[in-house]
Amino acid sequence: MNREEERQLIQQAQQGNAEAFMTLARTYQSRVFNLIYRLTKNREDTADLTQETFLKAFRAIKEFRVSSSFHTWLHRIAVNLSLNFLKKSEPQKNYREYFNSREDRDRDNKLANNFISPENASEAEQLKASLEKAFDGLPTIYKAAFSLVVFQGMSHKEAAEVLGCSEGTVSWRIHQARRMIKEKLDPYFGRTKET
Amino acid sequence: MRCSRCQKLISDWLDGNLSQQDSKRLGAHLKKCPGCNEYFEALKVIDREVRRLPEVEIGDITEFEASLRRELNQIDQQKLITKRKRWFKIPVPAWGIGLLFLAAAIYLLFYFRPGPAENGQIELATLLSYEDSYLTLTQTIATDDDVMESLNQEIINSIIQETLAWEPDGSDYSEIYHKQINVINIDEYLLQQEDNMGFQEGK
Repeated sequence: MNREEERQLIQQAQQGNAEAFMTLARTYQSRVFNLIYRLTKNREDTADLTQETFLKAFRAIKEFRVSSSFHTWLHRIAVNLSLNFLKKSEPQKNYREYFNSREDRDRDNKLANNFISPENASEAEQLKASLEKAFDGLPTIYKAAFSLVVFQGMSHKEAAEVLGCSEGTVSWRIHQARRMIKEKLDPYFGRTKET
Repeated sequence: MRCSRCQKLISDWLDGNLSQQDSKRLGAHLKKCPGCNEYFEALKVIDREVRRLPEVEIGDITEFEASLRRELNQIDQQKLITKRKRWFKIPVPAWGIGLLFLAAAIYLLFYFRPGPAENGQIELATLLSYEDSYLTLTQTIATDDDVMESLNQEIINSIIQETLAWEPDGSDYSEIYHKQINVINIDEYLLQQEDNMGFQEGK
């Protein structure tokens, strides 16, 4: 769908045309679903939040200015809903908790040992699993910034618009997220280097 | 450049968000810092693997879309109903208070309405217009000596006429006074008065 087609669909949706909005939803539903899933890690919650995102967008579409980016606006709704949901549903880990969890440390060491063991799964698979876990344990605001830029392919500027903060803040959060993931995965890199 | 700053630039570089100048500074630092170089290599691996993580598919896409469509149609109907009934949804007490205020406003408007001037009463606006006319007239008169003199004569005559008409109880005016007052030419009257005074002084 090009920008002109999207603009026409938005205008029709603003006049209450639910089918036009459904076409827009079909275009973005997969991306929105993935973004929310990166934050919640639960399929059922993700499906509910995705639907809620589109319903909220449809209710508010009359306030949307056609000159701005629909994609950014939609992602902003999705992120806000997800962050509110997570705030209510689970306590957030801070930086110290991220690294000091004994359970996590033991698991990482075990995975790191497996990582170099030839009789176990492939190294890439192990690294992938560890990466997923390292990412999931990040503070939510870092995860949101990281997801928008790395998984959704947004620029820092677009991500800043979605998150309602400055580009500098987005850049800093992603840097922190990378640093934390890297520290979490240090056992793998250390072992790899030794071999 | 400090290593902490370099690590931040590495992250920006991975996102394609680094200026040319910062890229050069980063390159220069990486050449001479093995620690940052190691960090850079590790982050490149992590970034590559993170981007390879598989996307998640919506389980039953048909059911998802059907459910969304149902919900959207309900919102659509709600919107229309709300639009149609908007005026009728205003509560009765609000209507009552509104009408009360309207009646009070109409009453006050008629009560304080400026009515026509009664007999003998001059409205302020009329007085002000008189004042303006008076000022204009006096300014015109002041510039013309003949008119000024004539006017003074008229004023003095009117004072004399009013004095003659005024007869308080027990007053006793001499006959000559009445005669003098009846003379309209004030110059003659004043000359006569001067003569009288000279006569008295001479006397």
